[in-house]
Amino acid sequence: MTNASEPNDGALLSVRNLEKQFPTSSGTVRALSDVSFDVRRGCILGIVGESGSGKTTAGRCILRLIEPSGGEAIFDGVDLFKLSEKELRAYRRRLQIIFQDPYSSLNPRMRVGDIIGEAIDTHRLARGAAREERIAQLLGRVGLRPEHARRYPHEFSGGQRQRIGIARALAVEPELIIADEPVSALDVSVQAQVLNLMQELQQQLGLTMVFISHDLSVVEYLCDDIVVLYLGRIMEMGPAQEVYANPRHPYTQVLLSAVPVADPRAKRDRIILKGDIPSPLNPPSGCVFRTRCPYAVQACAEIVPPREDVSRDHSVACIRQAELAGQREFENQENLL
Amino acid sequence: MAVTSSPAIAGRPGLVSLVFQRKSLLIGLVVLGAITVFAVLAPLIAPYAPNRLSVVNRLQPPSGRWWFGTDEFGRDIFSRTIYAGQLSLLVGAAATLLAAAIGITLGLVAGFFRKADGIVARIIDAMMAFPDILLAISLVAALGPSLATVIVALGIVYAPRLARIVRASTLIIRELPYIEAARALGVPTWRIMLRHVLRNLVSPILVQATFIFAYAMLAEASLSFLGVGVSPEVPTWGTMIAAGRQYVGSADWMTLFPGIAIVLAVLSLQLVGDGLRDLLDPRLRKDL
Amino acid sequence: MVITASSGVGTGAALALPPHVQLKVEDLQTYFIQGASTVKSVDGVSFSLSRGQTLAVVGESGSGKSVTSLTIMRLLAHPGRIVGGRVLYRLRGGDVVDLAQLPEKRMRAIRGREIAMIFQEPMTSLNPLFTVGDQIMEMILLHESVSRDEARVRAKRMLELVEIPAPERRLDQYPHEMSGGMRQRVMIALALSCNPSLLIADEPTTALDVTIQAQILDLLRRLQKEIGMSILFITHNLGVVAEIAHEVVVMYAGRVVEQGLVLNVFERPRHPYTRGLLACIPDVRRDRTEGGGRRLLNAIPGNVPSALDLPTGCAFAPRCPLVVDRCRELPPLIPVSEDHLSRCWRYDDL
Repeated sequence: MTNASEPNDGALLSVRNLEKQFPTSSGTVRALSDVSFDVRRGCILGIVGESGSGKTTAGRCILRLIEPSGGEAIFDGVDLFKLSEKELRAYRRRLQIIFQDPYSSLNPRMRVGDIIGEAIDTHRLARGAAREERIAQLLGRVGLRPEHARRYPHEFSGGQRQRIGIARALAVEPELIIADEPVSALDVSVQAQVLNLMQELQQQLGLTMVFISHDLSVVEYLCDDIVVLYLGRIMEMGPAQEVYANPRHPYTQVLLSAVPVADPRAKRDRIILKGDIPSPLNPPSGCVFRTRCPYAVQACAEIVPPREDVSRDHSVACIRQAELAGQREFENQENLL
Repeated sequence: MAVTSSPAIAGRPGLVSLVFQRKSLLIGLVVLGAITVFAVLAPLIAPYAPNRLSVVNRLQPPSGRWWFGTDEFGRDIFSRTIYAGQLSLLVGAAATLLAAAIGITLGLVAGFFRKADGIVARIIDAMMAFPDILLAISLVAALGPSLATVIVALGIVYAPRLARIVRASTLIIRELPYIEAARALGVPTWRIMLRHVLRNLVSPILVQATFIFAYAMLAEASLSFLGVGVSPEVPTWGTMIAAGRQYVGSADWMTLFPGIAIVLAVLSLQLVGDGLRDLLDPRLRKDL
Repeated sequence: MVITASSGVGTGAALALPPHVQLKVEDLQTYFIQGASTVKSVDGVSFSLSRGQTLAVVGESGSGKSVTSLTIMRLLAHPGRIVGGRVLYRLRGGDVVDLAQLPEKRMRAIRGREIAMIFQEPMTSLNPLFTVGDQIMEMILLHESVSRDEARVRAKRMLELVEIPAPERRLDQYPHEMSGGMRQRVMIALALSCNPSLLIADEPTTALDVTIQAQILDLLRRLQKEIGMSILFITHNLGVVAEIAHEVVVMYAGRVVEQGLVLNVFERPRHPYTRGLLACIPDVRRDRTEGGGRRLLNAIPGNVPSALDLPTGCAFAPRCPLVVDRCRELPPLIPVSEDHLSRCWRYDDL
């Protein structure tokens, strides 16, 4: 299993056995269990999942904005989880985050120039005229004008604010950016602009990116690799093209079929799931998806499905995946006949 | 409703015209300004020195010569009232500053550090459970009466009010993504507290501070009246009323005029506080 | 058009609708007037919704889609008011009324009973202090003369209808004990408890996860088939429109820019805005065999204009790739083919 236990050479970030539990008054929430994945250098990894999947928590844990309960995050050979607060500060420059809400992610009392400038000041990257020059450059890079530095966040639209957030993240010249639902709060017509910008920047600057989203079409469009999370566990992961073309986990299949398609003539062989996402306070035994899975059998309740490789880099956590794939093939042949 | 708010901003009226749109705030500012000017310029305005005795002219009613009358030692009440303003305002301002320093620090620490919160929040609650005046009296009694102790005592008494507001707001702001963004950038904690948290609390602190100013002035008067404040020879509105107490039946002007001064000062501060709250709140809500 | 005497307002004597039509909005104008500034949130919107059909109003923030639905329900908040136009609605008895003119008292009898509404965030529209059963029963008791026991039976049946498992137990639960999807089902049960002829759904699936959204859309489609109510569906998601609606009205900055049958509009959008919206959403079904480098999306440049500062003429002109001088003049809604209107001078070039 190439991508499971040993950190991968081509990976800038290797997350291993990430665990996160939140103690709450009504019990312990297992937000993440045994999450392991690699983010390849210069690539975009998409983490998809619905609410309660732990996708946002995973991003926050990697950056240690939330303290993880266990596991490792090997970034360029160093385990971020083992760093002291002080050591971590130097690493902060190399990993950045873009937030979902363009409104609350910018301090309303600070001018745009100061918001971006703070990033520059904190790591002493430039001073005086060079600092101003750099701010102007960053604003230009994200499609804003230098004079916008003097304005306050509320003078901008949601899409423009998101650009400011991107400029702030870029200000420290990070190697890895975690983008947490960066377009889901934006108007449809503005989403595409921001996605294009992120893609251009990623290519121009050779950034590595973790793109967290609930929107499968956006992830498919943008990402090289994809991790599908459900209730804090990885259901399936692999190269985006392959996972989308040939989803092997029943949950991935359901998720893909549930996306509304803007074509009224589209053939809809939709799998409608019964029931709700279970509470993470009391997740099902065995496979967490089994309570909603159309193919669940008794055995699914008994063991947590191990990760099985279905091809190089493509793995699935479903004990019936091989059997189901065989069945589908059989049905397809029947249909052809 | 609209995402872009730039036109609303372009048309945002200046602070001055906003103040003029609010009559009560304007009145408050004018009265408070007048009181301050009188107090500061007392040596130029006062017709007599505040402590000049004139036994012959004791207990004179208000007249052309003594606008507010004279007290039992023949001192001019008008001169004393405006001189007293100096000290009353000083006590109020100093106590407010001290309360702000203590309250803001405690509130920020409690709101930002979960571990400290348990203890600090409990102390705040315990202090707020005491009536202000009782707490102030016991503090002054413990420290010994003097101008400085009155200021310190009032500063301590009113600190929890600010601490509570700062703590509550810090708890909210701490969770906002822009704080996370700053942490992700590696901005040191103290800088986050000052630049990102405190900066967003300026308006509620300002509003609360004007109220504390008013309460502190009243409390000083009460302490002086009860004889546990500044020494009776020093003219503050409180000591003047305390002195006039014995003559309420015969020379009511001795209590009337300093009383009016207190009422005006406190009322104007309340108006300013209310006005500031109206002025700053909607924007604060929108920004947050 | 014959102007009827004012006494005829709401009596139905002078108002008429073709027999298949449930709701007809004519040149509706809703403005928010405060001091010197006027925001024309809805500026001349017309459409008609047939019985048992679904019409989607689609648009982004500030398009006026939600204000349109609130206007029809007469739930406008101050300082919004209806400045012009008619909202003709067929009552259950067959009479036609103009909702825009109806006195508030009569409107109250229509809301909930004739026209029901569901919202984006079901939590805020359910009362947290009452059980789900109480709220549905209250709705039934308010509009119909039945006993409490009967109302409870009906409430349970409603929960069954919206496929809530263990309805008897759920009746005694509070909204906060339910998940978002479950609460939206309760909202739908509540809305349908008095058999309305029209259901207005204002972004009902926007706050939900995709798998739950699929459930709710499926449920609405099934309920429509069973009950036969008309649905006015407000959304920003063209995918959802394609899934659920028969007709679509595309709004931009308070005006309709294109409207017609979903099949026609999606197959050949005749307004650059609609075309842009359709082109800028990534499609999960994209042909994955092409491989190679990623393409950029066809983004629409610029931002949604502020309602306080609309461009003269066509509001989309500043962002439009096809803009010409003539666009400074506001185009009317031009019939481009049968049942298909476009507010673009260059509809033929699309």
